[in-house]
Amino acid sequence: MSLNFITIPTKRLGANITAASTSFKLSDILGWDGVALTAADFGTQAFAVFRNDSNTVMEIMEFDPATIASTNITITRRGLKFNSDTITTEVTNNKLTWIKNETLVEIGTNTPQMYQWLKNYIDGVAIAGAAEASTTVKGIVEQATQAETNAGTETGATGAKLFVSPNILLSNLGSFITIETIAGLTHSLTTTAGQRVIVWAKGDLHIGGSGSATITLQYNSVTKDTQSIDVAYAHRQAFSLMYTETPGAGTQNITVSAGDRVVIIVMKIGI
Amino acid sequence: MAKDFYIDSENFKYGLEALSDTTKARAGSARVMKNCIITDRGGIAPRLGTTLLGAENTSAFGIKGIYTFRKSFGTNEVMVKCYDDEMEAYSKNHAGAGWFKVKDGYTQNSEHGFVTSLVNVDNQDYLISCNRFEPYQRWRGEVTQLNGAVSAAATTVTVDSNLASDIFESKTATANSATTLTVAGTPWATNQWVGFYVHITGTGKIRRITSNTSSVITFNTLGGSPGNVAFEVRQLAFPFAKRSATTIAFVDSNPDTITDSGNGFLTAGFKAGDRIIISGAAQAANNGTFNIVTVTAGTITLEAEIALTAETAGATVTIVLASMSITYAGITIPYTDVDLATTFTVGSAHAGADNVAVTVTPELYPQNPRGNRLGNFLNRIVVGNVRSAMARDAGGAQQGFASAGSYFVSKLNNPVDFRFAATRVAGEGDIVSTPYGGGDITDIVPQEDVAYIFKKNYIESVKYSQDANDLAVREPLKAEVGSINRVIKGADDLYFMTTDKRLTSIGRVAARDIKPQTENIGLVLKRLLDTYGVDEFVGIEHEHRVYFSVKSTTTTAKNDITLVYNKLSESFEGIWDIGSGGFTRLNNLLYYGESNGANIYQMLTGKADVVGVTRYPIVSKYATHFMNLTASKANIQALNSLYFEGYIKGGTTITFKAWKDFSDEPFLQFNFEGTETSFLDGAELSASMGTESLALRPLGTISDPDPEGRRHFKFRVYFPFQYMNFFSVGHESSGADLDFEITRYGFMVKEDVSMNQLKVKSI
Repeated sequence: MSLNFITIPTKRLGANITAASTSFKLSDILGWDGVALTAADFGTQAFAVFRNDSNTVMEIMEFDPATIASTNITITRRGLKFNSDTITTEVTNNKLTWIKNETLVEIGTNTPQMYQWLKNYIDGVAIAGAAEASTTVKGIVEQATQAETNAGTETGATGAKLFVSPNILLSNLGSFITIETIAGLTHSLTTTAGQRVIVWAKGDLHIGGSGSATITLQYNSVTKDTQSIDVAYAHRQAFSLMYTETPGAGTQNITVSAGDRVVIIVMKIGI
Repeated sequence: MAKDFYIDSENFKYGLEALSDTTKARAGSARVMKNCIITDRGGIAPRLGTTLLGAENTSAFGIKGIYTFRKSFGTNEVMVKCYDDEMEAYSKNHAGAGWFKVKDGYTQNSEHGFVTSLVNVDNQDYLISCNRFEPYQRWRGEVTQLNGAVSAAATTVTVDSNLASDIFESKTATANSATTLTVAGTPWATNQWVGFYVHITGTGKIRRITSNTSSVITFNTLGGSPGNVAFEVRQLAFPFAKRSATTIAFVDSNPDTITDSGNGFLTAGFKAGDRIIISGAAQAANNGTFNIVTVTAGTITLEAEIALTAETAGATVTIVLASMSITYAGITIPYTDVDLATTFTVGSAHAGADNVAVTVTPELYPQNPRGNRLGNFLNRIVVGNVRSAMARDAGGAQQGFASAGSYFVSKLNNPVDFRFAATRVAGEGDIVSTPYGGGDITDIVPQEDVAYIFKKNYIESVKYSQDANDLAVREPLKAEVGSINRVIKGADDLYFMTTDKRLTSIGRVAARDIKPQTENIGLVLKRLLDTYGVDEFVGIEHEHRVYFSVKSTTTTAKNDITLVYNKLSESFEGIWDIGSGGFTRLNNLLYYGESNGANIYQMLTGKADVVGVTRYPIVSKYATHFMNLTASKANIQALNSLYFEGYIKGGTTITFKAWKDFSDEPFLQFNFEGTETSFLDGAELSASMGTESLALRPLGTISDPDPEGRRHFKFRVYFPFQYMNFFSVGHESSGADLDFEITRYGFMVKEDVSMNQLKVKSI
């Protein structure tokens, strides 16, 4: 349904109608510009106010704008309520007999039903008609659930882009980054899909004389980092290895090939 | 000093005035008179109601033609209305049948004009009509009703009667044969009954009488001897003439003729002017619809323009009247025979319910002028506002013609023949151009011994010289004065609206006037008329009032109000909420057709506007002009009492109002209710001095009911002094079946020295 807002000169009723009548006639259908009104001036829904010459009684009706050019204008609802809580409620006692010429007819007036219609329209169009947000368009978004946030879901069930609310964001932040610190040459690392890891290993090496050695850092037997060190006699040489990757879901060992006082530190990013 | 001032019946007769400044209008004249009437004793009462005629019609199209056809014989009257593409009728003598269709298929929303042609060369009465677009037509207006339901595909349609109501003779035969009845004595003149019908009352058989002697009537064969039966001589109401024979030949003789060696044309019933349909001829050109110019027993002569193909006798040729069709239940069907007084023989009937109206179908005359302003001037039809017609060119040849500024005149006594010879002779048709004033002819109205031709800015009269030349004698009557639309024909005057909104009469305004003069009778309403839309002005004179309907504003789509002019008081009685597309009378009662609907309402019927069982209220308002109380010297005047007198019936409420100094809001307003419980004969109404403070309630008396059931009342109401220069008083009512009449207003005026400095100008 559509409803246009238009001001129209007051009309006179052209023929008597009873409380049961379903159509009415007007003295003319000219607008302020002297041009005959058309359905397009009203949209698909329109209201009329009938009142007597002395302004003591009135009735609100809904009529079919498509019939405005007909001699008989079709009434779709009679005796509408005088307040605006509904558009469509008919009140039997509000349906009256109206006398030709004596009755003033306002078809461009501001009935409560028009305001209610407008409210309903705005309520409806605010969701249904608004643009969805994107990186280039401001618009409506949908709040992401915890699961959607955890899953990194982009679009919600309504089709709108998801946004993360602060509390979900806050609750996620604590578990989003986890750090595991293990002393020793081996650490069994369990990761979930999508998690990124930063792995550090540090320690020192004493060969027992002078010479060189190569220390490796492996994940699941795959070398991720190596360090060659030259060690002077009777000295210890510190080493530090590191790598990052998204290993996928699984549990595998991280191993350091040699060293003393080795510490493996893993930072897992993601849940 | 206090004094009383009264407005009574004589003052009320001034009616509605809208010319002078309100303070200068005559005391008692009204500035508001809505749905009011000046009663026969000069009081003010609500207008009388209206009542829907027949069933309600919900068509969105307004009435575009209304007329009542009154025939020369019988008591029936038939009202005809046109709307949308329809022509419908309502027969006074067949009211139970309601409105019924006469014909449809006209150009939608076209305006129809009507005129009656009574007693012409056919010795028949016709309603002539045209809408400018479709052919000129004539209709006999005969109506009967189905007698029992008719089934689809039946070959007989049974009706109440196909005979006219008059019984010219009622006899019993003393001798008989299949074609004769003999009566005792010698009661008749020879051939007195030719063309009439014998009606055998026992069997219902009817036959056309072909001759009679003083005691024997001869008629078309019954097929067998009827016996010495009782019979009547009647007229067939519905048209019938039929000749089917192998003796018919066609002659190309300019004018062409149709011959019958069997000499059966007259006995079959054909007459000059009849429109006939020919079928069965061997030459295709000879089958068609033609007009008879003259007819003898053996020869039909057609119009000179008709070109038949020569054809010898041999084929079975059938000639019937074009009008031999009936319409019932909205459908038209031809009939082929009328064997009984109650039947039509048809090929295959359509279904129809018992009592449905049956009417004859109009005959169409395509060659006649198509105009919708028709007048019957001394048995000649005058047609104006013609959209197209046939006419002779300079060389005398027939050709198409279009001139809404010319009027066409039929032959004397022949409403369907407008032709004239290349050299016109007396009695023939005529075409008269009116190259004056510009524009179309807006009406043609016979009055006295002339016909007036109206255009928007021109009026002329025309009459035909009563001599061997039979020439149109024209007299330009008024230049730059004319009628914007139709003219109201009154008993003594014509009334019309000019383009500059003068409601004008034309007549012999003064006894010394040799030539009819115009008079602006609407001058007292000039300021009001100037605001109206008058382009669809229509009206009627009924009894001593002239009713005319216009648009209440120049932008109103259709007439929505009716003004009433009282010829006796020469004043306007008010503005009625009646939008009319035309007025007419049926059975001497006044009717109007809706301008914005297809319904007809009887006027002046009661105290409500009645549609079926619904009784709509009538809202009535009356207010005097503001009367000037300004006193001389330094006095100021005031009102402190009003007096009312009139008649009222139980159940009626009147709201009295008083205004001052041009205010729209009354300073005093109260209701006076004529409830039965308030009627205390000869006593105070509902309060008395001493028990109620002054001004709280009206005081008064009320009488026993008068012969009309009303009670006479009179009362005075007091109120605190109201100082003013200008005051007006009036009343309103709204409701169905309200019945009252105001016959006197009284004012108690007090004059005092002015103490109000604001009303004194210092210089």
